[in-house]
Amino acid sequence: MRLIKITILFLIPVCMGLITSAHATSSNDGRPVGGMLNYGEYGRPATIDPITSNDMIALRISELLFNGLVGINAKQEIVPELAQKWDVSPDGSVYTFYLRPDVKWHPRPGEEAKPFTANDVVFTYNIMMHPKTVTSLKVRYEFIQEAKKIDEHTVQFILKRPILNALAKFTFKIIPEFGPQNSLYLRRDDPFVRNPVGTGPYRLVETTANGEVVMEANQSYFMGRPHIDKFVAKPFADQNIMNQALMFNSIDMTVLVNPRDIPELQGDKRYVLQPYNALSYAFFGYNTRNPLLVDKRVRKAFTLAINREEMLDSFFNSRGTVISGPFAPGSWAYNLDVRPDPYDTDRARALLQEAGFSQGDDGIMVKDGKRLSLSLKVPIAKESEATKRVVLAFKNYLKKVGAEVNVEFMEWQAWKEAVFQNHEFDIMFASWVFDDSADISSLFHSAEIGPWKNNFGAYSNPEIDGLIAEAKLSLDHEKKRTIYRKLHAMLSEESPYTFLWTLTNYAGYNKKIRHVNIHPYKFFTFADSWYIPEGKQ
Amino acid sequence: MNRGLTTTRRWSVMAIFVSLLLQLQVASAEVDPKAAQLIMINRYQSAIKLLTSGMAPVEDEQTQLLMGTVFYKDAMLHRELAAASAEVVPRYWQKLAAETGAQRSRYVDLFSGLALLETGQAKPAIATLKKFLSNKNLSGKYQEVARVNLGLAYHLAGHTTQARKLWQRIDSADPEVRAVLAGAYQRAGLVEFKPMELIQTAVLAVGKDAVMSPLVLENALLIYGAANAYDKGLELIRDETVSAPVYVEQIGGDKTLNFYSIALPNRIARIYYLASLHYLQAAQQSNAFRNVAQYYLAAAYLNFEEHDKAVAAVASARSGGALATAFDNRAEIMEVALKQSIDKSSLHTKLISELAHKFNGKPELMAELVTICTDLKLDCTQAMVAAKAEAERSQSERYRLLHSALGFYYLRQGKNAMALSYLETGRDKSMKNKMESNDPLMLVRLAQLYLDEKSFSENLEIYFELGKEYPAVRQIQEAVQGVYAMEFKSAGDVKIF
Repeated sequence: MRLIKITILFLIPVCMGLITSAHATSSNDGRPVGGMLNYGEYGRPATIDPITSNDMIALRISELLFNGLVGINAKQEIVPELAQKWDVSPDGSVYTFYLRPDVKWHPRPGEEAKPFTANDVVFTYNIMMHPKTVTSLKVRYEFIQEAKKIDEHTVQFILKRPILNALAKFTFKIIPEFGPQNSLYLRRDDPFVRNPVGTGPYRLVETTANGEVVMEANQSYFMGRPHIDKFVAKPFADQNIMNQALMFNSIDMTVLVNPRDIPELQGDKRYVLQPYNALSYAFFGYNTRNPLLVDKRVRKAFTLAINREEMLDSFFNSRGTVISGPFAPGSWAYNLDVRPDPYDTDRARALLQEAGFSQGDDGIMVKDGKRLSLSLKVPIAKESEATKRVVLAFKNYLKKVGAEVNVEFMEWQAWKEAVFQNHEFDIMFASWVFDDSADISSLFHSAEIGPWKNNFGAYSNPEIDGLIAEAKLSLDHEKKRTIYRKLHAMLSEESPYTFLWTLTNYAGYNKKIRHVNIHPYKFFTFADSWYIPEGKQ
Repeated sequence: MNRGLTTTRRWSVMAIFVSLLLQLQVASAEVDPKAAQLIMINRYQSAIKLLTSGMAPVEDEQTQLLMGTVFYKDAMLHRELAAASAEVVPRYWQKLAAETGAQRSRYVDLFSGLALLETGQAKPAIATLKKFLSNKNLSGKYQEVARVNLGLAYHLAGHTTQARKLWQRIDSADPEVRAVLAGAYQRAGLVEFKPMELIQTAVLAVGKDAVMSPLVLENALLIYGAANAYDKGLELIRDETVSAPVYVEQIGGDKTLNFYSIALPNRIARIYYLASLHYLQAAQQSNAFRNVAQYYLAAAYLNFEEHDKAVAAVASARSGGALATAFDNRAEIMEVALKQSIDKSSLHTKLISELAHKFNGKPELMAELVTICTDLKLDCTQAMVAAKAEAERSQSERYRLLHSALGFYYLRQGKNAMALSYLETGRDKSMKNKMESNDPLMLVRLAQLYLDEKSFSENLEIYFELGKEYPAVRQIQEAVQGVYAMEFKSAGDVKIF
């Protein structure tokens, strides 16, 4: 109870009377209006609503189309968005948001723009938390007991318990009550998820047959009309081609420059390279539904069997850092005492033998008559020369310790369905990107096992579950950090993934785009104030 | 390893110097090429370990010159790390100190008090240390450490009698307490209490080859540094001590706080500086290397604020015309700048501007000019205009040093947006956090800038790489992580890339 009081005392001065602009008021700041920005993405999103989507491509688009009740600016301050002000009850359990009365939803063709109201906020929360809604967001909002409409422009959230940084959680994007066909829950077959309506600085015009997502400026955006008329997300299956497209002016920006192309862009005065995120890492994830992968010694053996330093040197010219656990080195939660496992094939083989495997006639390990032969699924949208080399090297490394890996490159959407929906894989290759929180609960908590949830490998460990729960309940930052350090050490040992590396992340763009400020995670948060000078539009 | 040699490093005077030594190596079997390579890729700590691994004193002048320069570079870096630490560690401790209740740290007041003393804030240190001592059930050893420092705070605040009364009652049986007491006597200037003898007994009690407490090391280096006994200091500096916390506080079963010696990086910098002077002074006895050694001596004196000695050394370096052009141009810049710093007349300001004009088209020399103007806080308005115009010409490898120098200039002026733009342009982006491709000093400054801008993860990424070579980074990493954990605001999102 005492801790709760402390939190309340801390929160109240922060929360009350904080009314500053989240973004620059765009259209009347004297900067030119007009022009089009084509940006390269590494795939096409299956859904672009903020609830069912779980990838970065959709997140970036959502940032242009939608708003939250509040936003977070570059100085880590909570700023108003759809809510113009808020207050917090003395016991920290009730958050009341007073909504802007001047916000309208993007009009659908031939329709009048509808007003945004408290109904939309309550609706969004309810549909997000519905058991049948396909989303990875629920785990983040289970601390809320109830969302209540007080009046047309006032909404209240009753919390089950006070949590750290609760206000920042209300950045979730609001969708319209009239949006989804099914008003109870949202699934990936609802037309809304591909053709959503938002309140943001840009409105969706269309998704073309070749996967381009076309968005145009919201002329009546409540924070002022954005400067650039049109944003177009163009999917590229191959990062190499994306960079060439930038160099030949087919696109104006790439959200992720291939590390190999950085020197070329850095030497070219026509382009700007901008770092924007450090909190991501690549990994091989294991499906523990496969009995061969249940034993942690097998997974640990795979980590020991691969030479990550050599892979990083050879395939990425050392443009990254090998990691030892479930956080990026730029995270506050990274345990600096846990060193990455060294490359040690002898120990890998010994661990496999300890786990009951013996070498078969063809050199592949066998246990209880089952060969250690596994499928590895890789999204083709992530395909680049370096990624191909990584997975093929992985296959070769594992072969040396008696594990057979069958690599299958898949189209982005098919890969997501195989991994996240149907769980038809043994090993997968991917990267996670975190916002500042380093919240790994959706990745490793056993409650997050299921279709379209992030614990795709069905990893389950009561001790890990307990620590995750304890960290979530804690109102003490340092206690939370201590628990996360423990989680890092344990997950390094448990090896639900082979944690690989963090790579250098840069966006590259043509210098004609001005006033570019890139959000480290959401990317387009400040895009309404970007502009293109008149002569270059 | 050779990758680093193809980057900006080749334009720096250090790289020119090392290349020169590697070429001369044919004539001498003494210079270790591995050490020279390590210096080229900015791994000074590894180079020092390699160069000091032999038992015999270094007699060869080339090696002495190499050691002098690497100690100088490492001293500069540790001083920068000390500044970074002094900025972020107290900020973290202030946040811990602001907490209340059973989960509040009891030891944060002790370490905050030590930090205040380190920055000469005796009166606030008295209050903070008293607060620590008012706690019950604390470790006796750390209560004694607090009392010794309370005594020092009294002494520095002018209450010398009170200080001596406190010190008389100290139980210094524990080597850590004895070391802290020796350090307090040293800082109070009380040589009659023989701080050197006291610290020697503390070091002996720990055992020279044992992993010692950072508190013993910190105070030993202070006293050895004051006595110019850099060699004794070097013997004690070990990675595991430098990266270790002084105290680990356990609160309940699941909260751990590490407290580090905020003074240690500065003490190391001082020892390395003295070592650099020793080796450079030895190297200047050689006819072949006299002028280069004097140039580096001048640079070391200048950066550690012994300007009179710097003036003499740079004049010697330039006399006789034996200095290679690459050094002579830099020495000329140093000479003019030093003169301006001593005599701020318009004549010298004009001379600086003339140098900027003279070195037009030579970004590496313009970078030198900007750096020295920044370090000496000179009025170089005209030169800066020329340097900015020069930087506008290109963002290529050759110009990175100039962009970095301008970045640091703006950083010192508090113009963070400009500083960030220049420093980022000066950074090798393909290897953005790698010390092999980027001057570690520049990386530390960039990291601090990112901290100011609350881009914590950018800061931590830089330190993650630097920490692999420089153990003094560890305390900064932990403090930034702590501040980050308390200041970030986010929804708790994670997505598949």
